[in-house]
Amino acid sequence: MSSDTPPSARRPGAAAPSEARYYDGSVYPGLKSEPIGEGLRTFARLSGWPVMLAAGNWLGDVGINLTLYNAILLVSLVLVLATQLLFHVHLRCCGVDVLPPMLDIATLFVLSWLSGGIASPLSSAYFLFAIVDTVGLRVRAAVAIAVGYSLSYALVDVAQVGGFRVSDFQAHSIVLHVLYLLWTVVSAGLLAGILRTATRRARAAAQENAILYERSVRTSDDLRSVLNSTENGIFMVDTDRRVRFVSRQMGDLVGTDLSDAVGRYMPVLIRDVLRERFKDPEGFERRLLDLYDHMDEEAVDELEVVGTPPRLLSRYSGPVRDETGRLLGRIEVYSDVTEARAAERLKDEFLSLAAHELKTPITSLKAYAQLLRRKPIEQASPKLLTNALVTIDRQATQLTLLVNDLLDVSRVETGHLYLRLEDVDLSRLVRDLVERMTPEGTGHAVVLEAPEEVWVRADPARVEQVVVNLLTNAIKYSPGGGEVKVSVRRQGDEAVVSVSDRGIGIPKDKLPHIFERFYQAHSTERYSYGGMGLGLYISREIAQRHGGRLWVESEEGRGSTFYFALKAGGREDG
Amino acid sequence: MADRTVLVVDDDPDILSIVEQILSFEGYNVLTATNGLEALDLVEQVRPELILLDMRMPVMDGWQFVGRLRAYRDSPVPLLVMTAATDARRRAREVGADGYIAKPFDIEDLLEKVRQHVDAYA
Repeated sequence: MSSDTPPSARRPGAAAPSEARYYDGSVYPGLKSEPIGEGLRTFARLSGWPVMLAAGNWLGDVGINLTLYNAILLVSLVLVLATQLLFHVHLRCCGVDVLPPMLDIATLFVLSWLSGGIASPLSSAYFLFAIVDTVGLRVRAAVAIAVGYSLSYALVDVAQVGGFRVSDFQAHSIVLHVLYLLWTVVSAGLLAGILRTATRRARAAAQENAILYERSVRTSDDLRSVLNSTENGIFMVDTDRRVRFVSRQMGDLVGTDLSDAVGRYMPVLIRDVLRERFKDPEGFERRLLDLYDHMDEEAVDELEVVGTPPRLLSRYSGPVRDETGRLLGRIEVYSDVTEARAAERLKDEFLSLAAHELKTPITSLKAYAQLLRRKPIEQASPKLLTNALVTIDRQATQLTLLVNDLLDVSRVETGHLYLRLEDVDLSRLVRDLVERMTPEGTGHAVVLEAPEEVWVRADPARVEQVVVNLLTNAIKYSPGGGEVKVSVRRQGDEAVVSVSDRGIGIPKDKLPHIFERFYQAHSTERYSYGGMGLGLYISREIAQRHGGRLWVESEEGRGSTFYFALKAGGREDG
Repeated sequence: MADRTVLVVDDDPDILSIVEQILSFEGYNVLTATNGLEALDLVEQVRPELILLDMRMPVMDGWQFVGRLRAYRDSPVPLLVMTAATDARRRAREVGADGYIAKPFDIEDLLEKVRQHVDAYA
């Protein structure tokens, strides 16, 4: 430190208790009034912030309001730190991995103190680099030091070239202030940007939430509609056994109004409303409450609902869980299985009936075969042999008819009942049949009325099948004998075969069902006229396949008349 | 042979006829009926040692027949149910019969059962 001072730089009357020197070693006069002692000045040389304070003194010397300066400095300092903090938070939110802000700032201050006078421009540069990327601290620090040194020394050099005398302090101070100003502006901008982004993000989040909420409301509405559109009755109770959902069909299934059931306590609802709807109220109540005691259990059972007619409901009951597996409550799904069970029962009954009917001819066949073996044929009387042969033949035919009926039903069901159409004289066909079929010894007289040729386009085998069926029925259902009248005539553009008997007739309530599959008006499980209940079902199918009709007029106790109509036309019409 | 009378009730004339022939060859006196009502008429006139009864019949079925028979007769007549039903044993139990013959039957089996019940009675 030299003691010569350029007179131009000296202020008049100012003492020099401590010396600050210019770059060339001359004493800087502005610091003479500076209150900080030599030790403090040394300290100031070693740190960033004291440099600023010194610079502030210098500025004060040149007439700048120190209070204002310090205020601005403080504000900018707070701004910079706050921005740094927020920026780090922002980067972290964006998923960029940065050092924790406090650690970053602490590193910065340590660097500041360690690097002495150049620390302030360094820290500013460090901040600047911190906002543009997240390069590692050391890289940032190295770059910042280089930039800080270059800037301040470049400024000293530039000043000297320009003829100004500038000290290290002044150079650092100027660089520092420029950078600091720059950084304050950038910080303010960044802060504004972060705030704007945050606001925008908050607004977007709010919008997104609104959309999600609306979507979830819509989804739950949709789900409710879906559940209400099934045929099933659905009950859901929460873990407190309060009704959370009840589908519209539920009330219909049990025959009561359940529209205000949501929110009610299920055990009370069962006691007051539901239990009386079931055939076994105690059983229903006990079972359901038991299921609620075991929320985790799944169960399937069947219940009978009172009403006319009573309905059979199948019930699935099981726990309801959300995606995470948390138990929300229990659901019961009721479905009406009355028709399904009835159809199953009909099928079972039919199978046992068919087995029964098939076994009857087999019984005769087997018995005659065994009888003839026991009594060697050469020893058998001619009467026994004739009986055996006639019966075997007849029962084999009967067996064939039964099997054919079964095959026909299967053909009808699968849509494979085909016709071989040709021109047929219906009168002649029926006449041949009647001659062949007139029964002996049953007291029946079959009277035929077929005065003219009636031509139709039809499958003769199938037409024959229908007429045979009608004739067989007429004889079967007039057990007391009597006249069976058969007529063939043209009626409008139809050829009609009618078969009338004076038998037991068909009760009015059974008339609509007699053409149904498996239906036998006069048969119960115990009481039977034989047969499988297939004849009229197949006959009507045959009639309809021909484009014709089959219908009946009947009075219970007086007899029945069946009409079989086909479209007239064929050979005679050309 | 009046002490070896068997009544056969079945709505199928062929089965009726063959059972009649089989039992006749063995020396039984056979009466036949095609339904419960006819059978009841016969029981009023003759007391059979055994009844072979088909269950599903027109006019009067086996169940009705047994009901009427029990009401009419004090001392029971042995009864064998003759049925093509799959659950022949259940049918026999339903009407309190002494046994059953499942259709289609073996002649030896039929004879064995008839012999057993007629002899037990005699």
